[in-house]
Amino acid sequence: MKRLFLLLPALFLLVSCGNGAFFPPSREIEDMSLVRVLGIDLEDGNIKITGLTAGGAESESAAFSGSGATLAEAVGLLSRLPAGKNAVFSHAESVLIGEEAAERVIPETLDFISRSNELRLGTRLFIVRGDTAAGLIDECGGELGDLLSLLGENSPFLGVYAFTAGECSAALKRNGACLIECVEFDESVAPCGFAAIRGGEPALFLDGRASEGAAIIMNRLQSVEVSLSGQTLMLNGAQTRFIPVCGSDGKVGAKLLVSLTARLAGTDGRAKQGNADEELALYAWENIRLALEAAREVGADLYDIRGSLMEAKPLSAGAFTGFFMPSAEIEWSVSAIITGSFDLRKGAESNAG
Amino acid sequence: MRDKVSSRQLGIMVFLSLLSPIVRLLPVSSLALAGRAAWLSPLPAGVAACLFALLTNMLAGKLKPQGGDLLRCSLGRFWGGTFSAVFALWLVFYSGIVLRVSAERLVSVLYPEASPAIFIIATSVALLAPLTMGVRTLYRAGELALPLIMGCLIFVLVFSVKEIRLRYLLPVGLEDAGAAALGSLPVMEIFALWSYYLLLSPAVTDGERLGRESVKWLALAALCALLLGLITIGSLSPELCAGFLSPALAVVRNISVFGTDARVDSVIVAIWVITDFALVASLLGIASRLLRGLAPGKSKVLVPPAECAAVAAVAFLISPTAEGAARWSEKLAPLVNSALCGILLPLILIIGLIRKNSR
Repeated sequence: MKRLFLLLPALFLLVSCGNGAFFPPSREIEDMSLVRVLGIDLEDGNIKITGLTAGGAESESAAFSGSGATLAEAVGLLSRLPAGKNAVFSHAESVLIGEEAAERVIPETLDFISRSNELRLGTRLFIVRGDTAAGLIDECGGELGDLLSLLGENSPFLGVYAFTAGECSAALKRNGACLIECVEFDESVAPCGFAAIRGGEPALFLDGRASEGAAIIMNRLQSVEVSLSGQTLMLNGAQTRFIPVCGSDGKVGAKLLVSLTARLAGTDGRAKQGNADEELALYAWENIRLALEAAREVGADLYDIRGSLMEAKPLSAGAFTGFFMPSAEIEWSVSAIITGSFDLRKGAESNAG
Repeated sequence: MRDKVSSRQLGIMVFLSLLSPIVRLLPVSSLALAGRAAWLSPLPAGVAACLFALLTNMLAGKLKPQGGDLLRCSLGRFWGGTFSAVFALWLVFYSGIVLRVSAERLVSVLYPEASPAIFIIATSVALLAPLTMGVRTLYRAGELALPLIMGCLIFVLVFSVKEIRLRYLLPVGLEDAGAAALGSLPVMEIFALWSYYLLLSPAVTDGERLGRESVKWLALAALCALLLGLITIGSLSPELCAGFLSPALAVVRNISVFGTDARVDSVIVAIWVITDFALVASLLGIASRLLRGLAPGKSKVLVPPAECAAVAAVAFLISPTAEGAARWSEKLAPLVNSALCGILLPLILIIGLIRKNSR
């Protein structure tokens, strides 16, 4: 029992509050502002950070900025917000990079997120086309966090799952290139394709059909509305399967088998199918061709097809270590199934009513 | 009886203590040597460690009397005392390195604006209790802490497994066996710590079970190291993982519980302090036993406070920066432990058997 008193001095030392001189400084929860979205831009040669804090019952969300020669310096300046609040980045879900800043800050941003004790590798990255990150935050306001979250979930929004900082970092190290989703402001925040990053900066932007083709190859397509020959289809998803093909010369190629499911809009409640499934398959076939062409132009395995081949044949994965997508022979075939219909007219009536 | 523990308690303390360097050093140390096959490296290391434990236990059983001192029995009074001092001083120094690295990790995750000083001092003071209460109290506390640590491990495993991607772990084949074996060297350097417990720690009450318990808990430690490699390399990719100072912490930081973002890394890091404390306290207990054998008369009572002060001094002085302290932990300490446990201690054991047979 006497020896238990030896523990008492240790207990007196275990206080977590202080002024920071000896004991750790106290961080009261009411002094914290949770930053939900982080924006990165360039301003006068410096890096400008804009943080959008989450709103709550007692406070509204607000945007604050900091500027510095490096990202760490700018974030450090942001940490001290007005009214004595401390910015906390542990709940930052999305990082926006302005289009101009993307040419310089991407490697530094990925490195900063990897090393940060607060930011997570699961933080999603976006490049803002045609605007700065601060501009997008200003236009969307407090709803931006929710809007960006919906881009990555099942929702009426047309989009694909955004790439996370961890995925981008790993792809850059493994394949020398990665994709980052792009967004733009068009009445609200909307996805607008991908940026292919090579050498630390955007080498190419995949817009429109090329971006849909990329999403199909990577099994990341959610839903896309397509108009073909006067008919409207809602593409619900794509299943892509990879089959390695070994040529007689020992070279390894790949075959992509894609199956699409879609619903057709009928104007009189009955689906008019016709050749809609064949047209949809051709449409997707062309999208995949455009996406593969973009990857060859960038000169890197943008979609990690080699990794997909390894997963398809894990016991023979060693055969694919020499697979180099830009010069490999790749075949693909697409099949489409119209699984049902939805009535556009009823939707219009309910909106009018 | 205060200084005697059961084989199971000894095995549990070894397991808890090994978890500290496993999480701190793996799989980055193995990645540098084995590349993408690094996640397999704990397998050959675990097998080798278990075989070595069985062999050493068998030899030690022939030499070491119950409650006796292996070093004095093998080398005689003078050299036994000399090597006792060498081992004790190294264990105190190594404990200081572990204490510093543990404090830096706690500070960087939970209190980023704080200095590790207060944590070093508080832990050093807290170490007085196990060092003065008798070994059995500490080892019994280890038994009680085991379910908490295992629960923590299972939690991390369950919520991290969905992030594993097969493409990051493949390809591995027979041609990677050599690389995996090379990558097992850093793992072996960690498992070598077990020798301190077997050969220098107090006697056990059920010596006939010591070999079996040693193998059981070493095998469990190897399994944990294997799963850690799977989770970290499988989630981050070998290329990204190699760039992290602590990939385990990076994986823990990214755990989200059923889609909600929660700071579970804070809880896990706080619980992980237990393994660091177990390692430091148990090694200091061994050092304390060796030094008490050297200290004359009533000065034996000064050994525990002197050790705690020395550990704190080492923790403060080894490096002014966290990176410098990490280098001690990653480079020097494993080499010295390997040399002492893998070469010197077995050599002393063999010398002792030769001397015993020649009498």
